Amino acid sequence: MGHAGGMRGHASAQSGDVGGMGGHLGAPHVGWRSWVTTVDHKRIGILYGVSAFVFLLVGGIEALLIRLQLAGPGQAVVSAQGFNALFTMHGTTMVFLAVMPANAAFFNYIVPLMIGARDVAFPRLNALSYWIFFFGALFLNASFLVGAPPDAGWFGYANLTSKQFSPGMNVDFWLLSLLVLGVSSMIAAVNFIVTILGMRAPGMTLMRMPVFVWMTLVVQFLIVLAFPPVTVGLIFLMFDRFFGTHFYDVAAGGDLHLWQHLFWIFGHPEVYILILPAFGIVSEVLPTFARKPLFGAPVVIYSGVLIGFFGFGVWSHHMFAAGMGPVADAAFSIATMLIAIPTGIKIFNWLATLWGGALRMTTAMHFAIGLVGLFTIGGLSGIMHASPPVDLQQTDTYFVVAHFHYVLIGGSLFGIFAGVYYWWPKMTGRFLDERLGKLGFWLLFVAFNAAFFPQHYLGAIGMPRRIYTYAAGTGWAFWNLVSTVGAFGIAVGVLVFAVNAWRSLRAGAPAPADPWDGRTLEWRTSSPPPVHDFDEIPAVSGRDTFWREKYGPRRGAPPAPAHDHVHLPAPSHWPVVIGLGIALLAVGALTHLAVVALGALVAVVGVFRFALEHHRTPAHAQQIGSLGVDHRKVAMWVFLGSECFLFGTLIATYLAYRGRSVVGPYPHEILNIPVTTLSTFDLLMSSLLMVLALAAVQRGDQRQARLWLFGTALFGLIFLGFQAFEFTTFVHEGLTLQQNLFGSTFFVLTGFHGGHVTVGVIWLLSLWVLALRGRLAPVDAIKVEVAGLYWHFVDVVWIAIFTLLYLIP
Amino acid sequence: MATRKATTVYLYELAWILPSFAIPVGMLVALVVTAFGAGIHLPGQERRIDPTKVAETAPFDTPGLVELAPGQYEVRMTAQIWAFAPNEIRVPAGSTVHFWATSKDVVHGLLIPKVHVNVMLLPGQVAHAVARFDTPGEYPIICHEYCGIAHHTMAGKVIVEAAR
Repeated sequence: MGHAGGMRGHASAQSGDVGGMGGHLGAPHVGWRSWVTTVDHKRIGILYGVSAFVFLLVGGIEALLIRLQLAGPGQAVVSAQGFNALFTMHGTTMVFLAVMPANAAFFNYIVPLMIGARDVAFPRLNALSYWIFFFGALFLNASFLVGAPPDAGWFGYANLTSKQFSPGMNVDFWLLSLLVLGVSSMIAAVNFIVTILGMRAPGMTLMRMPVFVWMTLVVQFLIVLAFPPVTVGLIFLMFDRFFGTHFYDVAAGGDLHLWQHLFWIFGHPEVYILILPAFGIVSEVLPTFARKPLFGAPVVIYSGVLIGFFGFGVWSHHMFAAGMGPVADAAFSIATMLIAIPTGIKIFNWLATLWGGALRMTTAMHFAIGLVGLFTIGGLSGIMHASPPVDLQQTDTYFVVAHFHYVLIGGSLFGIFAGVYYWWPKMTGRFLDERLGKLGFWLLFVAFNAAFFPQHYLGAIGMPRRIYTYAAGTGWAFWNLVSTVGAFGIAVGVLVFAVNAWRSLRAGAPAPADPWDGRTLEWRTSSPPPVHDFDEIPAVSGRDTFWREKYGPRRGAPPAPAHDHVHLPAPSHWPVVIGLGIALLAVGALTHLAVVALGALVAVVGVFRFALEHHRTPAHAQQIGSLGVDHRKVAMWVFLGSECFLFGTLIATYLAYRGRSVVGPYPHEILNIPVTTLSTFDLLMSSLLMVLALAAVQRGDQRQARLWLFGTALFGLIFLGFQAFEFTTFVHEGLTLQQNLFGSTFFVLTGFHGGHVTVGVIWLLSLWVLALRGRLAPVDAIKVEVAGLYWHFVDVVWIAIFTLLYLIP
Repeated sequence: MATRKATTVYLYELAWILPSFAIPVGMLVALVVTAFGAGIHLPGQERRIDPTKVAETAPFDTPGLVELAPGQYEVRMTAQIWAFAPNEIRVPAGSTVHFWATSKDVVHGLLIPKVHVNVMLLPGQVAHAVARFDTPGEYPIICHEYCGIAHHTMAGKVIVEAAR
């Protein structure tokens, strides 16, 4: 296999020196430009990690200000407005800019190493998701610079977020950056699902995958399925604020439960998105330092998968006080109690792993065991919320604040620290100081409990969340002071880690390839690994394969290692260009339409150049993974899965709001079924042409390929023409986005579908242009096939929309 | 550990097994006791209301405290940024108070610690909660759903007077 892009990789692969963060990167890979254009999963992992730490500090400073303000009654350290912005930004920053990217750092750096791969399935997409995240994060924090930081709370309950009650740009910053960050998470999730399913080393069956890889896989599925509902909720909010629709307008017939449902159907799986990676890390750290295999590893895996499933069925326990009725309350109450079972199983399996092990109490082990204890406390206070009468005493009090900080700091953050201390030598080639590490652990452990345990009590005696200040006679002052002291202790603990990291990078003791006597494949390669990860893709003979390799026994003969040629993708600057375009779009939404147009131009040009960059690179032609299916096809299927949730949410909203408009025109007065039947027929027929186009490309018939590709696009254009005709007719008859709830839901749903058709038409026309230039050979059939999958999906969705909107009155 | 006395349950095993049965049983008991014994019920969606016409819609057209029967009171309460109306209620000890409440603008909360009132007040929806005040004293009424810049000032109180 020849490869144009691999040359630079080869050059750098020869320099295997062990140094600081960048020491392993050879001559061509230096300077800031190499970091901006990098597509190396390890470097992207480091970028994620550094960004996450910076935003952990930002969110931490916000937390310290909050705690200073609440340290005593009647204080005025910050203004009330400032306080509201601080707790909103603290929550949003910690969830989306600190913990999620910290987890992404491990996904990026460790997962490909653990499964014995040379990179992720789509290295450039990986860079793209980082840069979109980077610009989204900057955009969110830019709100401070223009004096309009978001101040509606991290779950932004409608209708406080409406233009009427939040007229400034504050909420706009929040919703736009969340949309941008969602795109980033989605791209990364698709990428990692394809990577884990399709790029495992020979012999690594699903059940032989390390538990961390399993938890990563579950988390990516959660992201793919949970982000669409909140995306739709945010899009509704955006339309309400920018275009005057009525999704969260009670007077027009809207129902504020809608936002709460859309947010929490994302928000609860999000909790597991934050915590499951930590569970995965602990499941790697405990066996290594107990020198025992993970007790009941398959059960730990199954329970992780179950948590993922149940995670989608418990969101309404956030809404017990909102008045949903006894049936919904009972169902969600039981589901919430059930989810404790797989979680409990994990805890007991970790304890059983420790039982009788030869424990080495390293810093990583301290944090892992700390997680087991602290998460259990957070888990127990969590199950309490499952019981509606108990929950009623706790909703929106500090008890809840205590609970989720036990889960997110005692769980996620301790897990992340365990991972940092465990994998730092692998990532940098140097050890962190163990004495400083343990000092940091004990500081964090004690200070964390001092900060958050009293909040249980504060909540129980009635202190509500999100209050700027409180009166002296409430009896809340003492424990608030304790909590503030604890919070500063946490800050010192984090600082100790920063000092430790700095000292290690400058002059830490060099680490060998396998410093902890590890069990998984990442310890099989040098520390830090060469650019191509493994000289030879290792063969896998069982779970803990590296341990078996070192100590036996192997189960049967190992499969032959794969002696493939090392192909490393070339650096690309299109990811950062596309990210910049998206950032410009968001900036334009708040400033001027011209900036939106510029942003769209940059993004579209970026996407085209990105797509065509390796159109003729032979090494990119074949991307068949270990599933026997092309990576791009798997990726499209996963993406379509998330699209189902996107359209499902849009359609469900339309149905929920059907018949609730308070003014006309109403659907039966206006919908033109005969005309839409024609356009539906046209769209369905285009699917037939698409099949013909693919067949023609596959057999290399250039003339037919051009004909049918153009035909499919033309039918798509005809459908769009019908839609334009329908929309203008409706507007003339008085139905607009702003007219009533029917107009809002109808235009947003069908408009989104029309947008998908438009993207499809552009995609097909681009393929047609490639065909005209004779650049669409049979080897490129996969590109047409992937476009076809998308096109068929868009057609199928229209059948659902046509039936539910037009045919069923 | 693997000596073949397979049927023996060791003490340390029991120490794990018993609590793991006791915890769910305890939770279930707590659920039953609080729901039936203490009479704590979840708020339901009692009825819908046009948030722009709260003042003209019954029962909010006659806001305030109404004595239904001796020891039985009803409060028709509206919440808006950033106040409850009425924001001070006087009842004698031993009274049962029915709260009928809604919001005129954004989502508010109605929390009275110590008695079992914790309900969201959504615009467009009438919430209902019942509380019994036995001990004389002041009970704060707190808005606990974040509602904007002066959220922390949004409070009222129930004053329970010693029975004459």
